[in-house]
Amino acid sequence: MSQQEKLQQIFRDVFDDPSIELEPSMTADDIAEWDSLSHVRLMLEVSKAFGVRFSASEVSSLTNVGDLEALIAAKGGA
Amino acid sequence: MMRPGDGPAQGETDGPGEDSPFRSLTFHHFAVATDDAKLSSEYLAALGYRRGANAYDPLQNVNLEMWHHAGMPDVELVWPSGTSGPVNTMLKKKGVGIYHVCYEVDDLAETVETFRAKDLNFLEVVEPRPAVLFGGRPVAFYLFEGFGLVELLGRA
Repeated sequence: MSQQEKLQQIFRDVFDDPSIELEPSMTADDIAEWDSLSHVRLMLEVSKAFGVRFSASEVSSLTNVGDLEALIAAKGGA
Repeated sequence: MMRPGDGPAQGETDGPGEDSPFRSLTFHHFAVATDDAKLSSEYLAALGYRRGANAYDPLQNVNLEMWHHAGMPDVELVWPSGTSGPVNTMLKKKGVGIYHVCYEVDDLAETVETFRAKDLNFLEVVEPRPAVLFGGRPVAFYLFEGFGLVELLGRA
C-alpha cells in the first residue's frame, strides 16, 4: 500500500467516510467533519500508522493534505 | 470487542511503587468544558466546592476557573470566551462534560519519555508553556489513544 493509499484509508476511518479521495490541495474546508477536534485525532492515527512523531506546532501548522504528506515523508514515515 | 475485566491483570494496574518511573506523577484535577459557567458553578457549589483562582487563556480563547473541595478532586471549569476554538467544537459535538485530566509531575520531558517507553500512543497537542492558571508553572497537553486529553503540570 502506497503512502497516499495508507493516508487515504486513515482519513476514511477517522471521518467515517469511505468516499474520501485525497488530493494534495485538500483542506479542512473540503471535509465537513474535519475540525480542530478531529484534526488531533487524525494526527494521532497518522502518527501511529506511519511510526512518526509530531510536535504540537507541526500539528497546528498544516494547511492541506499535501503539507501532511510532505511532513510524513520528511520524517521517514513508512 | 473487549469485555470488562479484559486487559492487564490486576497486579499490573496497581499504583506506582517506589521504583516506578511514574512515581512523581500524581492526580491534580479534572477539567469540565461548559457552555454555562453559572450553571456549572451552581452544581459545584451545591456539592460543597469553593471557588478558587481564575484566568483567561488567550491561546485557547477560554476562561478557566478552579474549584476545590475538602474531600473530592479539584475541578477546573473551562468555558469559551468567543465563538471559535477547540472547546467550542467539543461543546457543539459532545455537550458539557469532562475535557481533560491533569497530573502533576516533577519533570514534563522525563514523564513524556516514560510514556513513550511504555509504548503508549499519544500526540503532543500543546507544547510546554507557562500555565496562566498555575503561576506560570510549565504545562503541556497530550492526546492519548484509548483515553483522551491529558494535561501534565510541572511542580516548578
